[in-house]
Amino acid sequence: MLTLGLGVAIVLLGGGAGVFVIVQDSMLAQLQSELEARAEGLASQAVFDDDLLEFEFAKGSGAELIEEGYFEFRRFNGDLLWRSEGLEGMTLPMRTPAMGEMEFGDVDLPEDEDGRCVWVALEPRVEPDSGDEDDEEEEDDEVELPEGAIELTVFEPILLAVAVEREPMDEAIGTVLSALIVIGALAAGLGALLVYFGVRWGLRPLDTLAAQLHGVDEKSLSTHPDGSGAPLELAPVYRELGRMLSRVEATIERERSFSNAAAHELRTPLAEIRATAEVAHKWPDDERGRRALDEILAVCDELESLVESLLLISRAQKGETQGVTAAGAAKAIIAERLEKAGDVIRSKGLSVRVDIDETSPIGAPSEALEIIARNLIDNAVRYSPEGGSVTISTRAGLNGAQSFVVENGPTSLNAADVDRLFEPFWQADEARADRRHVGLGLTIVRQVAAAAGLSVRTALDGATLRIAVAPIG
Amino acid sequence: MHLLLVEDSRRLRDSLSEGLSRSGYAVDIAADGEEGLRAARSNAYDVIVLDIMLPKMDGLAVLQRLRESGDQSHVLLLTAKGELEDRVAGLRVGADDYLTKPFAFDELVARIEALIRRRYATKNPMIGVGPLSIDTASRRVMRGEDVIELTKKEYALLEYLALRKGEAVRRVAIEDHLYSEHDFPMSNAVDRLVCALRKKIETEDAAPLLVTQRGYGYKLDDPAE
Repeated sequence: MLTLGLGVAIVLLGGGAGVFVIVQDSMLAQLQSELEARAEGLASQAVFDDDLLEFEFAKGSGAELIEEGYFEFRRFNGDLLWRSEGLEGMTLPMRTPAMGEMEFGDVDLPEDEDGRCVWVALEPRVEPDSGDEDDEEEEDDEVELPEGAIELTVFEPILLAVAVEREPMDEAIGTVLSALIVIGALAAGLGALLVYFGVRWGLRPLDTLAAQLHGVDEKSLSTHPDGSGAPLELAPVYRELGRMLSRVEATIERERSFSNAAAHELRTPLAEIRATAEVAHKWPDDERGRRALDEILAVCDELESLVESLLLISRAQKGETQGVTAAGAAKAIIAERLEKAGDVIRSKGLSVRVDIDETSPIGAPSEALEIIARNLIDNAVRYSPEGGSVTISTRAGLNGAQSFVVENGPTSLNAADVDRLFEPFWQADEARADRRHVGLGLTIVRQVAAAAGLSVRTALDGATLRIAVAPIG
Repeated sequence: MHLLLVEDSRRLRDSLSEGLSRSGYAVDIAADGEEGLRAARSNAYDVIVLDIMLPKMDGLAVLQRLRESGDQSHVLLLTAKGELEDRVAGLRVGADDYLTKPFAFDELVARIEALIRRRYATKNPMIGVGPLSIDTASRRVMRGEDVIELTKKEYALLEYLALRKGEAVRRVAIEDHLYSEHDFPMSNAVDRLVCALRKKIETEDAAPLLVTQRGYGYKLDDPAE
């Protein structure tokens, strides 16, 4: 609003100044036009006749010019040839314009009046000889020269300076200026009011939008702001706000579901601890007590593992987002996981194949790759049946960085199961009896991958499950 | 009383079944929904303790199938999902009660007892049969001021017959309610148990409370009524 007001003020000020300048220039031009006319009129009065410069106005015609006007005729050397009585003996400044040119300037006039003056260089009109009788008549008309003036008996260019009072023009300009100031002030005041109320009115839809958004909380995210009465210009804003609220609602719902699922998963181990401890407490004996304590310790291990997984998911969201891992380093990570899973691999008789292209790096930061590889390999080993197979490989990807692929089979998962693999706490039925694993491993993989700018794709190729992690391209 | 416990968590299943058995209940167990449904359809249970999050078929689906087939067994749902909508959903499918994990074992037993009373149409935990007072809450039997010490099976038999006071109860029904699938009682186990119970609750100078229905079963009744 301030900017708009300032802009309007500048426009008004500039406009007013422009009008003033135009008016002033126009009036000055008009004045100077008047001066030109006077100068031309006076110039025509200068006649060189019989070797003498004469001024016809001195002989009777143009008497008012002599009395009321302000003018001087001079030689180029400054000698005064004629001065009007109106000047009351004052001398006008001297300027020497080129022949046929006019110069304008401000001058002081008698009685402290301001004047506008024009200087002209001219050649007197030459009167042709008209016979002896005319000469005799002219000799009889002797003119009294003004004080200080001389007669000019040589034909030469002379200077004419004509001035008029500026006061009428200045008064008119002052009136225009006053009017502009008053009008400008009124316009500015009115404009300010118009700007204020106009902007307030124009911003009303934003106030409406702000009020609607103020009422939105986590319980009412599905209630999107109503833009039905809003100006068309705000339609994209309403639309994008609605989309943003939907995204926020989906995020909060995901977080809520995750929290609910986490709480649910925590409750069962707590129920196990409680039931085991209560029964042992009610019917105590050493053997039952020892068994109960063993079970409780095992549940505590599972709870610790669950908590670590939850914390890992939280940390993954702040993880390193760029980088690659050298193929050699990746092979070391894989070898370490396979060694840790060695007992399970051997007991199940799984065949494990590792096929890493050592010429290119893997397109994932090393910390992320370690977590991803750990969870994918652990999952593949755990959920492969006896005699099954696990393959860990890399595939050529974008920009020379490889994707990381883990396959295992045969699996009893179906297409619907594959779609749910990454849901927090989801497990295939046969996996659920093993409370050591709560179904967060692949959720962790997805979270870590997302934080590192990686994509995770799953595919069911017959009875073989393939999970590939690659840079997003 | 005969209970069915359907719970996929091995630890919870083992702890609860042991605790309930030691509390005097005959407990059958199932580890998934399909096994639980099969067991519920095969036997008449006084109470079914049913977890919701089960593999193969979740608890609500099991309950729904039972109700659709007309099964009127009393069902107590166990679950880690404690939200209002989950409780309402469970009760609307036909559950009689709902317990959220983790829970106190004593509360589980108390709720089972309440369901058993409801099953036998009595709200009073105290059952009187002639001179006997049977406190089903504390599992204590009194004659006047004297406490009668009974074994778990003897108490279970007495409580079962007392809840069906005045009814002739078939021998096979008694056996179903006193022994779980893991028990393999001898053919005359019920008769011997009745005999042992009689010795403790009856006196020579009073009319018998526990009457044999020859070829059928037994009846517990107040001879004065």
